[in-house]
Amino acid sequence: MFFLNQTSTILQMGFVYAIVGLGVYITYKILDFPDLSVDGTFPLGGVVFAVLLTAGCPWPVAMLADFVAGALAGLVTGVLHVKLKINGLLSGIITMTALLSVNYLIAGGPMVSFSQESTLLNNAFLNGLARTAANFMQAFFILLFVILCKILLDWFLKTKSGFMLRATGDNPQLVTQMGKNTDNYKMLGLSLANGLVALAGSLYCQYGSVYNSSMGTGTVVIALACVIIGCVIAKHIRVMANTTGVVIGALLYYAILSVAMLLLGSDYTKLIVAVLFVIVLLFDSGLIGRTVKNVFNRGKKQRGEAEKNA
Amino acid sequence: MLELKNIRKVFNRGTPDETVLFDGFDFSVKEGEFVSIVGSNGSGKTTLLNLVSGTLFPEEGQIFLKGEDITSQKEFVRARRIGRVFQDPSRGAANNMTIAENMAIAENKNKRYGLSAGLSKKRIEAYRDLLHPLGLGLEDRMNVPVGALSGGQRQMLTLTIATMTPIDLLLLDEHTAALDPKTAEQAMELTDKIVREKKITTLMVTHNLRFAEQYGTRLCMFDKGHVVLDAADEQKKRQKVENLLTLFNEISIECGN
Repeated sequence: MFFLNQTSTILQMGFVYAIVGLGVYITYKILDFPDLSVDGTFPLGGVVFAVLLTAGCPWPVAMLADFVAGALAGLVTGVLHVKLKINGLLSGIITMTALLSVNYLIAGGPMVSFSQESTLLNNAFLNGLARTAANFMQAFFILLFVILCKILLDWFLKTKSGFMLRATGDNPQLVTQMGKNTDNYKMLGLSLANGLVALAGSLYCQYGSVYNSSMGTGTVVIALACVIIGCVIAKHIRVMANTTGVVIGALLYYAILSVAMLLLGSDYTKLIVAVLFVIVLLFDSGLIGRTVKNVFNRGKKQRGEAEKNA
Repeated sequence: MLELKNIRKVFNRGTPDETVLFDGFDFSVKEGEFVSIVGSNGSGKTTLLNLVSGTLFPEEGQIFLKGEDITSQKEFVRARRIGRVFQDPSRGAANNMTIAENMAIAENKNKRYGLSAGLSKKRIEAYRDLLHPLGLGLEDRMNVPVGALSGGQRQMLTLTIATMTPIDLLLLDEHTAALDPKTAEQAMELTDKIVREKKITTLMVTHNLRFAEQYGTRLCMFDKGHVVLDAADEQKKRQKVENLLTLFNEISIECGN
C-alpha cells in the first residue's frame, strides 16, 4: 500500500514537472536562454487558477487563463531582455522577484484553498473511486495533459514559425539574414515556455486543492535537471524525440528525489534538489562518466600488471 | 546600385584609443558588378561590408541601395535585399538543424513564417536538385545536421542558401579564408557560377590576391580607409598578381610592417 501510494505520487508530481520541463526545454535548450522567471510563473499559474476557481470560474477556463497569465509574465522577461537590453539571467530574476509580490496580491494572502470546487483532479468521478485508484486516475489525467502539451510542442517546432524559433537559439544570424527580427522569436519562446509552466503550476495546486505561495521555490532547478536528464537520454536513443526524453527525465528525477526524501526526511528537500542538480550537471559534462571509466581502467591495468609480475 | 556617400566611421569613440577609419569616404558599385576588395588588416574592407549590411552604423554620411536611403535601417530589414556569407562556416546556417530544414528556412525568406508545415516531401526533392550540381553528395544527407558537415561543405551550402531567393546584393566576407586551398578553389568557382547565373551584384572581401585578380569584374585595394587602387573591366584584366603584390607590399611598408 505504501509502495503504491509512493508510486502514484511520483507519477503525479513527475508528470506535473514534465510540463514544467517542456516549458524550460523551450528556453534552455531551444533558445539557449537561462530563464529564471519560472520560479515566479509556476506559482503564478497556481494563484490565478485558485482565485478564478473560488470566484466561480469553471476549471478549464481557469487553466486557459493560467496559460495566458504565464505567457504574459514570460513576455515581460522577454521585453526586459530584448528591448531594454538587460542580461537574460537578470531579466528572469527581475520578473521572478516582481512576481513574488504580484502572486501575494492576487491571492490576498499566502494561501488559497479550493477543496470544495470541482477541478480536473478533484471531482465527483474521482471521489467515487477507492483512494489508490483515484490517485492513479489523477496521474493518468495529468499524463493526458502532458501528452497533449508534448504533441502540440512537437507540432509547433516543425512549423515554419517553429523552425525560426529553433534557428534563433541555434544561429541568430540566420534569422536576421532571413529578414526577421530575432527579438520577436525570443519573446515568443519565453511566452510559450512560461505559459506551459503556469499551466503546470495550476495542476500542482489542483493536486492538493490548495495554493501555497512557497510552491515556486526551486522550480527552475528541478525543471533544468529534468530537461538535462531528458536530453541526455534522448541523445543516446536515436528514435526518441527530446520532448519525450524530457517527460521520462522528469519521472526519473522525481523518483530519485522521492527516494532521497524518504531516506533523509522532507526537511532536506531543497538540499537534496540542489545536490541532485549538481550530480546531473556533472553527468551532463561527462566528468562522472570519465572518472568512472578511469577508475575502472586503472583497476584493470593494475590487475594486468599483477598478472604480468606473477 | 549601391552608394556610400561621405561616410565617417570612428572606432572606440571618446576613449584614448579613438581611431578614425573612414572620413569623407565615398564608394559606389554599379548594377551587376562583381567587386573584389583586397587590403591589409585594418584597411576597412570588413568595416565596409558591416556598414552596408547594417552590423555597424556610420557616424556621418549616407548609404543608398537602389536609390533608397538605408542608412538608418536595421540589419534584419536590410537583409531582406542582401545576402551574406561569413568567413566562419558556422555562421551561415543553423548547425543543429538539418540541411533540409535550413534550406526550407532559406526558401521562405521574405515571406511569413506561420504555422504551416516547415518541410514537405515535395520541397525536399527540389532542394536535392539544387544541391546535386555541387557534387558534394549533400543531396543524400538531407536529414543530417549542418554541424556534422565539413567547413567546405557548409560554406558551399551557405552560398546556396544565401542565394536561394532573389537578392539585390551579395556580400562575401573572406568566405574562403577558413578553407583549405583546394576547397577554397571549389568554393570560389561555385561563387563565380552563382553570381554569373543569377547576375547578382557582389562585394567580395578577400585576402587571396589571386582570387581577386582572377574573379570579378572590378578590383579595389583598400588602405587605411582609402581606396588606393580601383580597376574595372579592361583595366582590371591588365592587373597581374605580381603588380598587386608589389603595391600591397608598398602599402604595408609604409605602415611600418
